[in-house]
Amino acid sequence: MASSESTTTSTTTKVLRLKSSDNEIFGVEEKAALQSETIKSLAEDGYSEDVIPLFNVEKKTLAKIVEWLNKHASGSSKEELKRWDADFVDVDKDVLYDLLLASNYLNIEVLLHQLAQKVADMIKGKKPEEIRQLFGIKNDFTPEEEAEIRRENAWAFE
Amino acid sequence: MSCYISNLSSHILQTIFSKLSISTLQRCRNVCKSWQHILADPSFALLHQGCANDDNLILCLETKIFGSYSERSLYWLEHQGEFSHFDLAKTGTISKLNFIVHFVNSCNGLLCLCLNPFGHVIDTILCVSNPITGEYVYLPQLGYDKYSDENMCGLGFCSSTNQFKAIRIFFTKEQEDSILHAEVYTFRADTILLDDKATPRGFETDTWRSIGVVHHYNDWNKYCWRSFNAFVNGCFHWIINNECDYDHTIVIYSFHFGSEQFRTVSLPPSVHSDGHQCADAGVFRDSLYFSCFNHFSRDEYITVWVMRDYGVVESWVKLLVIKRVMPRLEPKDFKVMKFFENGNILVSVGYKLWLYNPERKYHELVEATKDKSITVISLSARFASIKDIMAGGKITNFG
Repeated sequence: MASSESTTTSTTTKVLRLKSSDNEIFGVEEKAALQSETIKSLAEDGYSEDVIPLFNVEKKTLAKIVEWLNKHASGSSKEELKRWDADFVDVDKDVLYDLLLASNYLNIEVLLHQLAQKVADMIKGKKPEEIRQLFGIKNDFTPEEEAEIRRENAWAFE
Repeated sequence: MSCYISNLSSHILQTIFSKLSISTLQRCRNVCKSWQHILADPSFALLHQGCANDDNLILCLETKIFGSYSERSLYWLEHQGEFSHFDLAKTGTISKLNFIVHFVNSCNGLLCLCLNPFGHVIDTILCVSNPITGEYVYLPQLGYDKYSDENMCGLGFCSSTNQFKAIRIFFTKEQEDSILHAEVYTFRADTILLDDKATPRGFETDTWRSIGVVHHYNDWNKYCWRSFNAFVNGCFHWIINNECDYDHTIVIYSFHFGSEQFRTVSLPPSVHSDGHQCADAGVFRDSLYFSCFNHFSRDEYITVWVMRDYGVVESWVKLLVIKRVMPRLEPKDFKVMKFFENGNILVSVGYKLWLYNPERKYHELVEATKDKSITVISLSARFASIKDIMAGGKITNFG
């Protein structure tokens, strides 16, 4: 998955060259790359012969994305993919955010939903304070608003 | 720790939120202001309807009575994937101690509740709530000389004017006779009264508009009106039993919120109107359904019918036949709460919930409700405030 000037096999598989924001180039088979709607439309716009610039994705994130694209175009069995995907999303929060942003930018619906599910699983069953701690979110409610929220939550008819 | 998650676009956050259950989302709303805004956005309501495996929520009301003291809790029923495995997630309490609280019906995400003081049917209070945001507004009350109850009221939506309306029917006693009157209340978002904390409490305009006397089924002693969570095709529906008649004849009666007219809806042709005392009506995928069994002949089966084309008697089709196997199946007691995509149905019988698989004719008590006495209602999820819902009308109108 490192940068490459493409493969030397005799097949006619077309390889697209994707360029990260920090100028690293990744060669990806067209079939795998076109899982991204963004790449697909850039390719249709005539970038396919050339390098496709992805200004919003850094190389460390693009490397992970390319890994995912290749795996999902490899014809692995459903069960294997499921196991592989579970490992793939089992990453640090920082990496998870970068992947979410990238999959959203590259418009890879399936990956976006897998990552969203991972974050949702982290949120599940937690109290607001625990969610804030988990993601380092600042509580921007005033004490009055908090009191109001507590009251509302009780949904207590008076 | 820096706040990376706040850098995610609202589309990504909405995608994450769409994977969460209602009880978790209610907690998410209290995390920070930006999450609160995203969850209140009408576009999220749309996304949640589209993505969530389940847009029809089940709300349960549990009443515990200890002597003269009663305690009421509200729960979301959340499906946990396996056949009859559900969890109850507590979402609120009702502290109006001297009142009996009933669910009336739900319409476009709003829930109509009826509160009756213990011991008498006068002074009925209607209340409209969005259980997701926990907001509720009271409607102007009936006077002391007017008799009504939870079966005589209903909430609806008029799509031609984009307004929510409520219908209430009440009796007045004039000498020996009782007369049945109907009144309509039209909700307007700009007349919602807010308290000092900007929480909605009531309405500025307190006039219910009379639409005249109801000439049919107006004998208090003779007819028993029962309302259902059946707002379909712009109409609210009742099933009316003739209690004097030995056969307990039934009719389906409807009120159209647009034309403000009452009408009778034909029963499925093969259903004899006599003797089917145990009947239920409701919504099955935007159509009216009707279920019944013959109480006197001790039928083994309950038949559920669906009216494919509203108002067309020929369009009634048999949807399913349920073997009467659940215990404590009393007349007036059987209600289908939800039709699942996989064919299973959730049924309320005797203040308990059952899951029934029609194919295998197999039923199971919902374990989470085993030790509780509950009444249940289904409604669609709307994350917007009551004011926005009333101003914006139906969810599809958000575009």
